[in-house]
Amino acid sequence: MSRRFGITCALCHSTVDNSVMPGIGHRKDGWPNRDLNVGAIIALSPVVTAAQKAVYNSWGPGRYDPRYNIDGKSTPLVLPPAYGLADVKYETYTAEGPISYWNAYVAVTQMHGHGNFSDPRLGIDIRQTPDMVGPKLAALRAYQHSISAPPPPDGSFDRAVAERGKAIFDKNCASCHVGTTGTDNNTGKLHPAAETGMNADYAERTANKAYRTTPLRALWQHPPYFHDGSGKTLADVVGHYDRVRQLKLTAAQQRDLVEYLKSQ
Amino acid sequence: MHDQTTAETRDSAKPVDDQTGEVALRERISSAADHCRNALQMLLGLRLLADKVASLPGNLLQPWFSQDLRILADSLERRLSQAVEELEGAWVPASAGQACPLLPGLARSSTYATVTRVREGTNGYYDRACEGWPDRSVSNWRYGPGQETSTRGDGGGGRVCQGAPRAESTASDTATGAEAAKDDLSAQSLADGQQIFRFATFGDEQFWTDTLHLNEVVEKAVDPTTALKVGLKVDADVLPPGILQKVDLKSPATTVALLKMNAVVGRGRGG
Repeated sequence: MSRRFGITCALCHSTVDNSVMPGIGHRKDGWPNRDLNVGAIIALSPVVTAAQKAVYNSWGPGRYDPRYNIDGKSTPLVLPPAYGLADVKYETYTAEGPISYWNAYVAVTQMHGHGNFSDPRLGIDIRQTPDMVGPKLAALRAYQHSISAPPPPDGSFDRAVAERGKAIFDKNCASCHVGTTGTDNNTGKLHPAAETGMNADYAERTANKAYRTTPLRALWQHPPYFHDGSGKTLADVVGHYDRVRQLKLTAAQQRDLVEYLKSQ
Repeated sequence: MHDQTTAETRDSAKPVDDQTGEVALRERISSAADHCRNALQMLLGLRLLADKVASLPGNLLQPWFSQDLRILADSLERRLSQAVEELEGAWVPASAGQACPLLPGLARSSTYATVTRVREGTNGYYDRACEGWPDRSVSNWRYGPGQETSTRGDGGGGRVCQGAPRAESTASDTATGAEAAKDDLSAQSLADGQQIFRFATFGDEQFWTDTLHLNEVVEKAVDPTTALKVGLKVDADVLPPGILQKVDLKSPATTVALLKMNAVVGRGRGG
């Protein structure tokens, strides 16, 4: 009989530094594995139907839909970093709860661990005895909070240009990307999809029906951007908000702003 | 370990009418002391781990402990930064809570290195409402004295804040520290958390093995080259030296061997 195995948080939220060869190296906990094709892996299962396989195989590397098995819809998210969370109040793209809320959600409803998760807003009430999730949440949270966002590599951005970009950021972006975390969500603020120019489909499937301003953490490390990965580069992000918010930034200003974001 | 009960008691006992700011000042100093105590406890953990590393006969496990040390050092830095922030926040004037007279609405910074201050009167305090520069760049840019936004340590009379103010106070940033403040940052807790993050399956074998039967698929059809193509990662630190040159990367049996070694990132050990 073959050996049983299961998965862990690190599957999606760790990678390696490729120091031996691509895909093999030292662990980098908290770094999202943007190469991981979770859907394709699940689709290998002999019990998955053809229709389900088509959905799973449509997600692609670095994307996962944490609600597909709940509501049957598919609007996959980019796997987020698990670093730099110490001062971030609500962990998810739609800010439904603090870090341990989401850890429990994922552990029970996505990893299918043996434990409890209930959220009347979502109509979910799963209780399994023994609870192999709840007792681990405190230490898991402490460890995740201890993982700092990695600073940008030396020489990865032009400091003088970035300083110019900072002034542009402060004038145009800082009303939402507030404070040390770069999000106004720590006060509970959410933004309707229309306000951000984002596709509303994912938010509509969540408890809050709106998006959180994403905290700015090691932007250099985890393209693509936005919850759905629709911004392939930071230039795409800046261009998006220039259009949606009618910022009327010049090309030079957009370049400066991108340089600043590379430093964050 | 952080005393959560004490913190909650402190919050609930916070006076609503603290005209002089003295009570708030004492509370902040007390909170800073808490953070320092946490940091000291972590230092003990670091020393213990350092002892372990030093006593290892070989180098097989040393990367693990080195990683633990780095994690602890990161956390320690964060805690100490919090302590510094709290202490600096203790320097509130009697007018605490009022807007900066020069740039109303300017938010307070929660990172010390870019704090900009304006000396107020002769009471030796500074107006915290002017502590408001974007500070996320600190860890990356290292603004030095004399540069645009850094007037820290200049003894007062600091540069007036420039540019657009933050739209709202970042007090929420420190408020969110409430959840982080619940963390047990002892070496044991962080080591436990790392093990959970890396290796705990929470019993999800019931799905990945018992329902999806992916273990059978891997044994029959997933060689290491295929595994790497779908983005699975391999932890080099647990591989015996030179093994990659000896094994067949086109054989599913090699994948199984890697799984048994716990070398595949995200493959659990159970529990």
